Amino acid sequence: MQMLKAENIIKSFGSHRVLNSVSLEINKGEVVAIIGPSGAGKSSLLRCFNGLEEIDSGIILIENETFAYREPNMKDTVKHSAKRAIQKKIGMVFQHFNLFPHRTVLENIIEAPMTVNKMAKKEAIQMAELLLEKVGLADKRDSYPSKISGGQKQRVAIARALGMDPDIMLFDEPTSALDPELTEEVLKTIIDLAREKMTMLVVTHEMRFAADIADRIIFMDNGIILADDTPDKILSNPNHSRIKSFFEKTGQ
Amino acid sequence: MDTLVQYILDSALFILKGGILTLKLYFVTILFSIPLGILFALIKISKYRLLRNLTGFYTWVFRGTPLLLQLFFTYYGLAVVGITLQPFSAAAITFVVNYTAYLTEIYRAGIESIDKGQYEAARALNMNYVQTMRRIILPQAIRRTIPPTCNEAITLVKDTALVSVIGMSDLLISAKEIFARDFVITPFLIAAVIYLLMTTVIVYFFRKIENKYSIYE
Repeated sequence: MQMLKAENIIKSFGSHRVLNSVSLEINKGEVVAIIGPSGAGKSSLLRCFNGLEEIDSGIILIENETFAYREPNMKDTVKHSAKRAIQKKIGMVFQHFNLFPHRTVLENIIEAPMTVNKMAKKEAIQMAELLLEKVGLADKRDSYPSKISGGQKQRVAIARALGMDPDIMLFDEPTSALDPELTEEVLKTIIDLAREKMTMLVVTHEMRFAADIADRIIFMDNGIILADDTPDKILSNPNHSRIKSFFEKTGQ
Repeated sequence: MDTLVQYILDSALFILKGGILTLKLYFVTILFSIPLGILFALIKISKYRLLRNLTGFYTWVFRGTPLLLQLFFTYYGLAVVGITLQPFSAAAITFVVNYTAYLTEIYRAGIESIDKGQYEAARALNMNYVQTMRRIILPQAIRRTIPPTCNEAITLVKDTALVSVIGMSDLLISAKEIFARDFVITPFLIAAVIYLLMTTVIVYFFRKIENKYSIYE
């Protein structure tokens, strides 16, 4: 079953075109890693998929519902309310965690379920405790974000996104802001999610991780997708000189 | 000795009676200008250009002219065009409008200092604008603006002394009345002590709030 489909996505910031007619499909339960040099448009693409960036033209379908549809130089035809309803299915984890610093770990997780979904507090707390258990941070429930490590923050951020019960999770360089010794715990949490068949789209620089967990790897450069294939094919036999040189430069 | 103590007590009591007026004006101003400042700050960062410009014009005028002039304008000036106000109403309106202008800019800066990642996280969690502001942005912005708000609150204590120019007997005028009668320095010292006490209480109060809201740092 198709979870996400994007066709001919074009996005510019000023005169700089960051996405140049990008198309891709992701099936339910699939884990897809997006790799490529910085400035390739990886994060921008991800941000278009949850509405943090508006596309200039193209179409985005989430579970066969139109999330964004725009002809060049026209307005997006999808209603704001429809976008919001679809956006509920999309969880997002940021490079810099973006936890709410004035809220405890538990409060970070129950905030949106309570204010957006009107979940009862007791129920929300029960759910949050289960999620904290899952990411191995049950003992940190009453800590403030400033009192926990980067790796722990990112695991809380994952739990917070899961609290809205998404159908697809987007990860925007989830370990790039972490010290090497802290990336492992975050990657492990993401691997656990992959085992549960969560549909995931992960922008990452961790090539080994991408190879290990991804069903597919997408290589982007200069706003276009240069390759979209299984990890084996992409890593062992890159058929594009740009991909080869990228692997040589990054030493992988 | 007894008579000196008695004299100080009597004077202090008389000055404190004027102090009641000062306090009334103080609390009315604080009570209205803080929420109004937050409201106008939200307008000033909103997408409505006309409202933004109007708020900008308002803060430009009221931060750019003397409070004393504004007080004259409200009490004497408006009377010329047929709007007569009681001295206390005139003073309260002027102080609220003036202090709101300053607080608007303080809260605007506070809101704008919050990382855009906070908006994005809230957005990604499907929170709407009102929920994002009320639950995520404003609590953090207000925490950051406690120190400058405290500054304004202290300045306000002393600014209240300006109401004497529209004939109100506040704390300072009461002190001056005793001075005019007895020609001694004591009433001014008493007034100074009372002002100091008031600002000390205010600083203490804001320190308490600051501590309460900084547990997460």
